[in-house]
Amino acid sequence: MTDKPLLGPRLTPPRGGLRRLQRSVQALEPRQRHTRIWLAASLAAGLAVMAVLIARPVVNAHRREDTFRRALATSSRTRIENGAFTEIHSERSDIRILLVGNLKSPPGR
Amino acid sequence: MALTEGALYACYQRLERPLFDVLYRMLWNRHECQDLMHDAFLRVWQRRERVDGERVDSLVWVSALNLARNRLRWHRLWRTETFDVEWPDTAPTPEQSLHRVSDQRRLHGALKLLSVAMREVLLLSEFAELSQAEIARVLRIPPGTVASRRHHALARLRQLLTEESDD
Repeated sequence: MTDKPLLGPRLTPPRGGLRRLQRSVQALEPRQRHTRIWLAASLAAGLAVMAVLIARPVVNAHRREDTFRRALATSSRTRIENGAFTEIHSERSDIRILLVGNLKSPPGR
Repeated sequence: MALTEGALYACYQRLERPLFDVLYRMLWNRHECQDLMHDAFLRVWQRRERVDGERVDSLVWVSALNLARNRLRWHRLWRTETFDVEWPDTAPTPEQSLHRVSDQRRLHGALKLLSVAMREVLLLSEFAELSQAEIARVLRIPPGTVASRRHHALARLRQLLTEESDD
């Protein structure tokens, strides 16, 4: 049973709806691709900055450790001053490498 | 399978008239209806990767009805109302033409007095060319509820239109 007469006649939609949709769909495509490219590029840039910020101190620490190890290995002139510090041979005349102990005093002293 | 552009346009051509018939009787403004139809299809298109080609019709109906409900809420909030004289003017005389407009106004008033749930079931079952099960899926209600709501909505609408014509 139909009640269309009760609800009025069938209507004709305004013209140009499909063309409008086609234009919108086509306009949406490149914008979405652009957005995705921008998002990926900014993510990559952020990751690169983070990597540099994290990697630099790590690399520096490694370098310091390597220098120190080399100095210890080639040390022929190690000097201990009253047990307060140890001087390790340095290859450069303007650099002194000192090991400073920070031990707690034995109990009862 | 993702929705293709061709399938979207085919769906638009298939649903344009029934969607317009339903939305117009909810919003009573032809341009607003066209905007809503456009937005509903765009929404579906934006989710095309997850849309199955067989489900596209019901998804468009769900999106369009959601947008129409939001629009009605917005109208209620701002107390705005529009009313286009939309019925096709095939009346041979000015008197009949006037009669046609008054019929439309009466229907507008009567449909407004139905609850949203009843109105949607009634309009979908009359214009959407969907089966009872499909209407139930679109509105997320049991199929039995579709039948009972349609029955009550028709009875109420007839009563309202009769009361108005008696006045």
